[in-house]
Amino acid sequence: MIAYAHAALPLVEEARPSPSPKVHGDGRLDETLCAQLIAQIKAGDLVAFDRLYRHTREDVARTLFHLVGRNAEVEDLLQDTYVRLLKAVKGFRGECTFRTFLYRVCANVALSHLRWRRRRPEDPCDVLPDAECPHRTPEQEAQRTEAIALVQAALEKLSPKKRIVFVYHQLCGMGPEEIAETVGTSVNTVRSRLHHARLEFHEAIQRRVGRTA
Amino acid sequence: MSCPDTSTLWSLEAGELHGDSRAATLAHALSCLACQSTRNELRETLSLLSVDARPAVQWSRVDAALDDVSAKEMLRRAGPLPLWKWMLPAGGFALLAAAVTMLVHSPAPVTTKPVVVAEVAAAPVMEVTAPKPIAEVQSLHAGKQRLTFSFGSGGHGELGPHSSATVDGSLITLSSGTLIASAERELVIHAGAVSVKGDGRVKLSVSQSSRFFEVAVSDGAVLVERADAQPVWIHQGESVRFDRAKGTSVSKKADVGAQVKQRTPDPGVEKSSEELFLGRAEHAVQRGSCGDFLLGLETLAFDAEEEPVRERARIVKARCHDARVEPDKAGIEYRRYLRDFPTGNFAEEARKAVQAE
Repeated sequence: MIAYAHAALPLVEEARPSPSPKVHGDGRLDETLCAQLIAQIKAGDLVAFDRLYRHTREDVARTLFHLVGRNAEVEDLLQDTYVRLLKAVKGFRGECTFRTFLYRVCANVALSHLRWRRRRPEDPCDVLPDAECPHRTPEQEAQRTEAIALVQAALEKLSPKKRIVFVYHQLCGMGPEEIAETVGTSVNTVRSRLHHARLEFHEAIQRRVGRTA
Repeated sequence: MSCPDTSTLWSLEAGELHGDSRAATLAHALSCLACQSTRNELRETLSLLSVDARPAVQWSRVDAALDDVSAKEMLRRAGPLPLWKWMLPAGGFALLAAAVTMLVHSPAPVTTKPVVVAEVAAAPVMEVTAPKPIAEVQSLHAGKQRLTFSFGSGGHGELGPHSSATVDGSLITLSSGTLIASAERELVIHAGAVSVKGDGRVKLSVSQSSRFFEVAVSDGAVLVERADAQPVWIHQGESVRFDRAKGTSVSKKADVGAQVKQRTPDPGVEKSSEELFLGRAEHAVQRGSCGDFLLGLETLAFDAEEEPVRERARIVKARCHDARVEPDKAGIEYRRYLRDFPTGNFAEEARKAVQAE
């Protein structure tokens, strides 16, 4: 029997043969622009911060939504993220990409929030996003809502650390090395968390659709 | 070959397997019904992950919150009181105006009374920030910076910008401007016709301008005496204000302790500086050379005590960006203006500018 050890999984992002269905955030951040804006922010330019915020906010909002799963919490966490970013940006010296830096802030904000939320009673009423697209038919909108509910329910089953790794890899298109740099852990730990997160996520989805006991 | 686990099949579906491992896994999966079933389930799972889960964010709410926070953070970084940034051009303008006046008119003595300087012209000027012990009667005058000093037995004082006072032990005579004082024992402050007396631990601010006189207490209690009014006790968290024109006490309100901690400036001096600065900035906008005024304008737009000053500073800042051909920045300022002053005097101008973007 072949042993498929999770640590040996070839998760490297080199030359993917087919486009992954994930990756909504990949390639959206203009690193050059971000670097220029950060230099201006360090010099006290408030407008540069505003531009950086507008350039990144959609990605950050979507990422935070996947990380915490509740629409109403996203706005507060967005504020938290950008406040932290503004305070942390003066220490950003370009050792990593801005995306890694930004997602590190997101991960810290989400992790704190998820840990805090685990100690509080669950409010099931605010799971779904309510952003409606005028181009979708009611049936498409219903399917989309159902899909998002399934995904969020399955994500809720993951521990915060596994969830961050899973979301960053599956939904933000980050490779294990970048995730390791973002969350401050080893690549092997990231692969291990991703391996378990995938199994747990898939199992949770199958349970939800009634295929597994 | 045995069936690969779900995670490996996931990697196969996601295109993450390469070379031999991909070929071997794929060859097995194509010939194994169980693996084909798992692959079908995984495709469904992956398709769920591709759904666009864009949250509905009320960006205006987030924008507004972040505007305030980021402006505060930037001001904090710029320093606690970056007055010099805009006092320099304002002072330069004042000197220029004085020079022009002297050239145009005869060299007769100026009849208008300078706000502070004339009263303390003979006093030694101490531009220091470290506390200076006062051993004997001494006149103090703060220039552009605040002046801190110690007095009596363990007392500490701080004169606001352009303020002046005479200190004799525990007796302080405030000639003009603002004084913040804390004392452990006896403290007497004379300011014009008003006396403030504390006995014991007390911290307070005393401000006087041509229009009013105000005492605010953040710790302890003081007795405020005035020749033509009943003495009044002002306790921690309270303030009292006398209107010089009306000659009566006009207010005694609670919860103002913070203003002592926040170094209440002299409104009389500050107001004229603000107006001077704004006028100078508007002039610079017309000339298209207003870049040096931007930080000062932001400070005023964010922090000025009076709303008309904040409003005018915001619109002047927007015009300045317009003059500098910075449409993005101008747009942000116009939107901020509309957010803060939707029915303001310049709302129509701001609205047109935003619509024209």
